[in-house]
Amino acid sequence: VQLHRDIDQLTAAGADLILIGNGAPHFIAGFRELTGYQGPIYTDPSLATFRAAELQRGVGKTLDPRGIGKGIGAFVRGHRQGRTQGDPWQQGGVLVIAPSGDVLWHHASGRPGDNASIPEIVTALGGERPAAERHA
Amino acid sequence: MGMGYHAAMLDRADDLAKLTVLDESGTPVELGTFWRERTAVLVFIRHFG
Repeated sequence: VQLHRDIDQLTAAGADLILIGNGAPHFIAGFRELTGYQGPIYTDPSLATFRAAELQRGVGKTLDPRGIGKGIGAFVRGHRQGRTQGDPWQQGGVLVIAPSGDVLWHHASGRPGDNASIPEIVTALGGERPAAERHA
Repeated sequence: MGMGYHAAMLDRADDLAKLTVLDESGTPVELGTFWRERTAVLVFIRHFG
């Protein structure tokens, strides 16, 4: 999975990757199983952090209750939605935050498939951009 | 790329730092702890519910 390489790059650039979803906490185990992701992952069913992160424009459409139900149903059946063949990493957005509290980078996904690319994030961290840039 | 980039949208994470998220057991964790020591890349995902 590309994600593992991505995490290595971020770690090398001096950052920690933390995932924040919005389902019930017990969904996390299923997500790990589905993706093989072993790193930090949390959830915020209240969506308060999504709002505070100013992602509402990006996630508003998909967070329609009907959309959520559809997502859960698809998740349970193992059919993941999305243009990129149901990428379970579909982002609501990405924030890069320094220990100073400064937001170094902010990306609000506007539609399915509109994900921040790791090279962009690594650049925001002041790391080296990989020679062969690829799409996330 | 670049379509979702908003340089002036959110400069500081002070408000975010006080909010909590839940871990797998449902225990609240303060968001600000994630970037206390190292820079944090928070990826908000739409899935798993």
